[in-house]
Amino acid sequence: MLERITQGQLALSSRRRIQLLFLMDNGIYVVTVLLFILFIFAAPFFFTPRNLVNILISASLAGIVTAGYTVAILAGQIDTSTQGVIAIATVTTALLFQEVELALPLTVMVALLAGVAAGLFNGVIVVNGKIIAFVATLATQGVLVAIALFLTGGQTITITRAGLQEAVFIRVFGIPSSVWIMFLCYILGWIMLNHTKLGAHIYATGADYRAARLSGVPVDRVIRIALVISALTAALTAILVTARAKQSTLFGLAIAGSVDFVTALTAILLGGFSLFGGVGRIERNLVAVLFLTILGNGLQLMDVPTGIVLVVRGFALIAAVILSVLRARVA
Amino acid sequence: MALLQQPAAPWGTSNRRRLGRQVVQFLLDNGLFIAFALEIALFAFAAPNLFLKSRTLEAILRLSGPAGIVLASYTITLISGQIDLSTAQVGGMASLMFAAVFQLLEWPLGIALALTVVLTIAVGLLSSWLIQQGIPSFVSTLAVGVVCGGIGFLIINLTNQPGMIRLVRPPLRDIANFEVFGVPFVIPAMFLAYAIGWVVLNHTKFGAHIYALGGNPRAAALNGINAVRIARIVLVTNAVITGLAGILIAGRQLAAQPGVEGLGQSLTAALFAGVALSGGSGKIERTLIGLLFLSTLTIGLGILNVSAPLRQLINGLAFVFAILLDSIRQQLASR
Repeated sequence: MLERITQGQLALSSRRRIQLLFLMDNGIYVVTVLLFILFIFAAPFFFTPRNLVNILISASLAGIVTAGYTVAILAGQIDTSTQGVIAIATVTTALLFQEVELALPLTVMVALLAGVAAGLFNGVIVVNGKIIAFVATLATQGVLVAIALFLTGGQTITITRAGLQEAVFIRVFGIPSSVWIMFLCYILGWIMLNHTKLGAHIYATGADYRAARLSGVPVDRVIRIALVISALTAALTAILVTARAKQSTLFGLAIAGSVDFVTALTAILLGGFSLFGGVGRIERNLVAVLFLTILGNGLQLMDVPTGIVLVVRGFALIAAVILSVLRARVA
Repeated sequence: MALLQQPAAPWGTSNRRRLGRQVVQFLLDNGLFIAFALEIALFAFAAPNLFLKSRTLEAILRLSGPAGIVLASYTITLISGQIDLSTAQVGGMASLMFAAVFQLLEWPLGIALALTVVLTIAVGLLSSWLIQQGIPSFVSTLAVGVVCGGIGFLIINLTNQPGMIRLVRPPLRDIANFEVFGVPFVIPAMFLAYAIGWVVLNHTKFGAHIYALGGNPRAAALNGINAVRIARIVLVTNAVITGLAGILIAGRQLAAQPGVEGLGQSLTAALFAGVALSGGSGKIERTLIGLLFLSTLTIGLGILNVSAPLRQLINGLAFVFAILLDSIRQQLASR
């Protein structure tokens, strides 16, 4: 299943190759700016302070989940359980804060712990069960969503108790806290990936699992850590989403611009990562996330039917996957 | 490696170990039948006057019908080394497309069917084209599934329907509930699908190629098997059959919806029956038992009045168990 019908390098002159790579690496900046300008004219209320803040918040939520997801992808693990982790963390947050009336820090702590537990469970079936991450996490996803449904009886929990949204979305220097949290995640991720031994191990594991193991990298531990980080950021996002919406989020319907693993995967592939791990730089994902958020937001403001937004989302993923494969063939 | 092997253990222990492995192997090979028998016994014990009825049997078979037709082609897809994650979305999209043309535009049945088949062929071609570009099938079909889900939604948006399209125009309703000798025709149709699948896999050159390709893609390619062509045929067939099954389910429920219930368990059923996730091995006739096992579980839990979230949890755990089973099987085989 993981065996690719491989294709060789494209026959290109080295100058052409460098040009193409430059285009692929920097095209996303141009496209994002163009899209932004297009929506200023095409979408009503797009270029208003309120909507720009809105975009910033949405982008930060998607950005946080993408940051952790990047680590998993780099280690060669495609994590499909994001939606499940978000479901369980949002339900935990809403239940503990609204029904149990727990203090806020404690609520946040338990919700994050739920994420860590989900990540550890993923790690156990991927590493100990020796199952490809993509399938293993698909299974976890189903179980987690079911547990979330079970805990709430399928109901959405509305948060009427004051304090969650106000505390989570304080503005620091006029910018919502979620944006700062996102930057913090990326800075931490950047430092970890580029300046620590763990980061080097993650790159090595993703690039070539067998070679990494033979040269003494603790591959199993690396994979476990990567999956936990991915689940942890998903849980963090879920807390923020819950605080923003003042209710446990719906986990059935996925809409463009919402946070789930399709958005994260698309952003990562657009950011120049390989589907198979080992290649890519985390800071590039920021632009890709911004691009996807602007796309979703602009289309919604233009009053495009949900169906078209979803189709665009699917084709964005297809385009991103093709781009990443093409990049591998050019390089 | 041979130098590192431990000296031969005393006779008793090695004999016992061999026996242990034989037991494990026996359980892996036949555990499904035992589990199925236990399941029936359990439900019969828990709800004797509700479960042991011919109505229950019919409900189980009816539930298995369309899913079984899909599972026959899904199994072949898995054996060829491809995994298709777009089943639910393709089925939903096809049923919505059909409902829009047949129910809302009131076009003839044949044209509505033909349009749906063309659409699903396009879906299969798109998936296989992506695979040809070097993208693993699970990512390709996942992305295609997202697109198909979107198209399904789009059809609902464009026709201004409230979340689903009612499907009550006469001929289809009669066809979906058509009976042969008092048996709903989906049941013989399912057995027919399995018979065709069995013959293709076991008695044709194409079937041999599918096993070879799934077992070792590189060796198959070196032996002149056209991997791209096989992937295309298998995925297009799977998409078309999934679409038709989606229409059958919609016809029975009298409504077409974006996500089709009852088509999501193909992977679990196939893995239970010993089809390898990585392709190349598995017997198609066994997946039928896997499906019956899951259908009985659904119906049985329904009879016992188990709440929907708990049922979903049980199904989720069944999937986890199925992939663990597959992993154990692979590790034993490679030993």
